[in-house]
Amino acid sequence: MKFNQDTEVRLHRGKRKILDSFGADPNVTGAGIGFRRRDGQWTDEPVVVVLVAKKRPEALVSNRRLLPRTVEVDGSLCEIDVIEAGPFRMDRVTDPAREVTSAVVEGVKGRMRPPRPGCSISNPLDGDAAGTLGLFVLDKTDGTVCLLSNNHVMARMGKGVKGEKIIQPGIADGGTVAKDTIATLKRWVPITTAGTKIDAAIAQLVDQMNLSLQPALDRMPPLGVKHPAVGIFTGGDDHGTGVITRMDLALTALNVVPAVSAPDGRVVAAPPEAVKTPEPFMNIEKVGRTSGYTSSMITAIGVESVILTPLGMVLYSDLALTDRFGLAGDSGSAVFHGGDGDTLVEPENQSSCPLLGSVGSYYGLPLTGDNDLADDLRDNFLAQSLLGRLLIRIPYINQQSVIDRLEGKHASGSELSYASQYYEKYHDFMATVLADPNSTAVVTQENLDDAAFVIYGLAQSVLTPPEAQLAYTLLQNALLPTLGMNRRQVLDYMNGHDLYRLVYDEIAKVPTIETNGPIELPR
Amino acid sequence: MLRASGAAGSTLIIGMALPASAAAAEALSPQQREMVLQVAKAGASYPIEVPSFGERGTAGSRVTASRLRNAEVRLQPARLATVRTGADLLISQGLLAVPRPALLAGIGRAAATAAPAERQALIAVAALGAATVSRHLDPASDSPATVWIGGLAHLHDRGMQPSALRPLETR
Repeated sequence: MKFNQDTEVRLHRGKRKILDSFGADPNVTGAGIGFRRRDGQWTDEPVVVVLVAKKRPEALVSNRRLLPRTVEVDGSLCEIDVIEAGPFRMDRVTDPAREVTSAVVEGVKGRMRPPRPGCSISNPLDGDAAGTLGLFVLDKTDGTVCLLSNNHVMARMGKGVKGEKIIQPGIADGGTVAKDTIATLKRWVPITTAGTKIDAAIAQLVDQMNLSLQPALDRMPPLGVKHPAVGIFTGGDDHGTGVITRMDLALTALNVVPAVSAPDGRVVAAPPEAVKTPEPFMNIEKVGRTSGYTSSMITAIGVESVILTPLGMVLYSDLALTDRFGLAGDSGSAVFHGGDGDTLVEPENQSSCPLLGSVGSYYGLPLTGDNDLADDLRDNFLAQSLLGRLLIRIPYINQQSVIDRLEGKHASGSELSYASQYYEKYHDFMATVLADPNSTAVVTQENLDDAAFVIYGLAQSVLTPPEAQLAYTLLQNALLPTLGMNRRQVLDYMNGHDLYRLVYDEIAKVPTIETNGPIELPR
Repeated sequence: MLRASGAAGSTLIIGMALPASAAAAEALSPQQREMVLQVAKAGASYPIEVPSFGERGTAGSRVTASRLRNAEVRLQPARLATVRTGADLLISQGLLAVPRPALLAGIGRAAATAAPAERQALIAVAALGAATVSRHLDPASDSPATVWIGGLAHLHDRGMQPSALRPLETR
């Protein structure tokens, strides 16, 4: 589906306004333009697509960080669709521990002669890495056949030197310089931290006659007018979202043209129609070193996002987004228009709560492994009471403040030691009580004394004076009365309106804690 | 006097309280008492200023010989015997008159290297010290002394020195 030109221009301006206003928010990972997806179904409503690392219900987001539903451009409103995507990183393989590949995925990791698009390659000077050979192209300056892949796969993010060897398979797949060199690095588009639209390089094929234009695995045809290339798979996130750089821009910048086979078998330049620009809803397909053949759909275009690279964070622009299309090691894959749009891979892993990550990192506790326990606490305990529903909101709304406060700080040895003592003492107990709605365990004096020690410890280290006063007040007036209560009795107690008002009023007095206002009390 | 001997190292008391002479025999020696007071003073402000639990004054100011005696009499003889064992263990390691940082580090070392019974004795010392700081705390309860001793042992295991918590903004 295409935008009309006016709509596209307006959406881009709306995107710019959103990025100018909200781009500094750590939860906002980028923005582009596309069509709205509602309940998993695509609509024909053009929208500015805003990417966030974690999407939360409105009530759980700080008012000052809440993204608007619309953005005004030239007196009319552009709709906004917020999706969970990013932060992104490059998708070559550099860490074997990150490589989580399902047994049902057929990758292209082995030695392949002649080499074919989709197979594993790497620059040996890049260490234990592997990416994907995207396409064979012809160098317009001298007519030689070259490999096309990402700069970050072959040219070491621009740190490479012309003539460096490119091997197939890549080092991570057992390739060696002595036996597996197939090309030498020739040219690349520089990438700087100032930003880029292109992540591409070429390497000249050593044996100019030893190649096959047919992509590996024989699941799709070679490049041609009926099977045009639209991009290069470049990176991804933990949610399964992939980012694609534009093929047309890469070819122009490198002064190359895709290679096709003439009727007489010669390798010749492809016609211009063999390359297209990506569009929303376009079905796409690729063959990559890790996930093999996949097909998905373009979900947004014109995307600006910061990507974690070996150079640090680099702003990439004019990206296309897709879902569940590739994994680490697929970087460099040529992306074609085609496929059923529904031959997908599963994301490598699920992201964990950033708040647990930040607090866990500060105290040296494995809290990110407790995501499920935290979800249990939220869904199977707190959500069942009035006060609990308020307490659910507070960490979500204020999580960035906590992350910012702990950023760059290191817990003292004593904080680490005592955090570990209480974690070990209560972790399994909490899990047991949460797992049993009829638990007969009761709140003991020992539990309350421990709570007092923990609160005093927090007050003397990480809390502001008003926050500490709040903690003391709530300990005294809200927590101590739970002595002797079991789980059900605590829930009944937390459903009390008076208790809710007491807690809400005390929290609302603290300037560093946002509440988004009281939740509506049932009549 | 109704009294029966229990297992080695402990005494089972049936019925009435001990007469003064017997109680004195079970009581801490002056040196053991001084050791417990030193532990209480160290624990009053490490790793945090102990919660007031409704009492007046700083935690450190509440560590007095008379409050220790009041806490001591709340203990059964068997528990008191365990306290004596723990105090003697610390004294034997030269910790009776050392500066507070050295005392905390020494308790951590002793706890980290102790046999289970010895560690329990250290916990009993710490619990009596905690009850000296705060009457709210039960001198016969292992909590929160177990956490306090465990934290010091944890620090020793990692080669770190105990230091009181400081506000984040000062770091």
